[in-house]
Amino acid sequence: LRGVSEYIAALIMTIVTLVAGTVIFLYSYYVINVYTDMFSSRALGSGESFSVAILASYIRGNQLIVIGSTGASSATLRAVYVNETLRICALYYNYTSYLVTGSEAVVIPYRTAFVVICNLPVTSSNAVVKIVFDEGDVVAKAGRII
Amino acid sequence: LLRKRVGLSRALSPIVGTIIFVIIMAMFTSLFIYMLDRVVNIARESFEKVREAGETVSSISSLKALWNFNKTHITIYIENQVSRTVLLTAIAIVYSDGSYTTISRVNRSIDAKIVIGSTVLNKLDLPLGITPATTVTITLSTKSKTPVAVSLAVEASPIAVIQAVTAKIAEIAETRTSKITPSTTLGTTTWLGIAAIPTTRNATLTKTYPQTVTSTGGVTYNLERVSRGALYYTDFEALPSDWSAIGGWWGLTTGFKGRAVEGRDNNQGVGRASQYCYSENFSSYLSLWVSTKTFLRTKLGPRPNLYSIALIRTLSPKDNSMYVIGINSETGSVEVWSYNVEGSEAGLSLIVLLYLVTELMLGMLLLLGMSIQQQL
Repeated sequence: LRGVSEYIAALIMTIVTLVAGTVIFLYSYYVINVYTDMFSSRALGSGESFSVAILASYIRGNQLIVIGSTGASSATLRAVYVNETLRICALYYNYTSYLVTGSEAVVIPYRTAFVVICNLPVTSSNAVVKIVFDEGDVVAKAGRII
Repeated sequence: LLRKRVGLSRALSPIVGTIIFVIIMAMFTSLFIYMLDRVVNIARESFEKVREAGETVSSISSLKALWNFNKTHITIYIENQVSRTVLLTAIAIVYSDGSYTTISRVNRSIDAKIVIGSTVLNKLDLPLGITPATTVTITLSTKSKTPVAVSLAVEASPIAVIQAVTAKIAEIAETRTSKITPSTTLGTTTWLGIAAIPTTRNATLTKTYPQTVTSTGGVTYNLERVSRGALYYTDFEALPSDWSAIGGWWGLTTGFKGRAVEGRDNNQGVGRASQYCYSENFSSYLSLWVSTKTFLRTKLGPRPNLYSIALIRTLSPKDNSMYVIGINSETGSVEVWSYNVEGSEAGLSLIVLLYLVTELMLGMLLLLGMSIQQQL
């Protein structure tokens, strides 16, 4: 059995090393780009970030009423939690009502006032409500006014 | 020949290894520099976002909102006090019965009276841009309901973030008129009052920066002197010609928002004190007010200094009987002294004067406020 010459061996080793280095370089470059772009787009936002303002939240009778408004972009309402408990609530906007069950999402258009109404025990004097959107959560406290 | 080839290969191996090492080092160095550059850019963008968020919050927090209610309509005043335009995107009104009204883009035009600067509109369309230094007044019918809370959704730049602004209920300005009737009898008429003037900033008169807000409307103050029955008044900017000294050294001094009279006791006046006097016949008055302002500039001597207002009776059977109301420089208390008044009769002529006892310096600035009853 004859071995390859020393020159061929050195050439093969050189090629293998350089190729391996290049592959690692390109993979690292790709990973850096992907994660920094993801951070820039999600964490820093593109200027049209999600925002929802809660304008009023109170309890009337056996109803918890939360009035809010979306910002420059639409918001996808996913679920409503009252005192850390998932509730089935009604969503009103644009003269239309929807049921928010936690399983189906409802898209609220941009710059639109909306009202979330949930049933509560009549004895409840206050509540903490968390409205879960796909883009983020908003939390409000509500007290009884009547 | 074999020895030569072995020697050549030994010479090549370090060179090839070095080249490979250098190439790989260059690649990873460039990768590191690239990664560092990306991190720096992200940090810079983060700082910029934080700054913009701060500006946005500042813009929204500088929006002033008030509301009031007149049984049938609610009026919302919004004033933009920053240099950026903000966008009013929604209004929520909660009523006392728990019902509510929401207004936003989807409501389209609704009946309302909108006053933007000098422009009056009859329809409200949201979103509504509120330019810098602009006041917007929105009047809506409440359909006989009583509002208890009003909130506004406001969008500001540079970050398009929406935020709720709670409108505060406006204080209703009312005009209160007080009339003061001065005494028609001889003597000083002094009145003291606090005029609380409620104002509503319902108009921006100038649109320049710094913004000047001028209160208009509802401001009425009717506090003015229509006459004065002061017997005598002097601010001692000059030595009054009709005053005279009974003992002591008296002269003008400065430094009391103008000039004042300064005196030094030499025990040569009535009651071994010193007086600076104004003479007038008070016998026809049931009561009088005498006001002065005094200042103990330097305490002299071991005994307490007394600086006072005094009444001297010059025409009584016992001449130069005297009452003194003064301030003890040691204790700060008000003291009432009499001199040579036992058995005297009331209702005689008196002298109002400044009184010094025991090496005292006195500065008199202005006639202000101490009363002395005449019934001695």
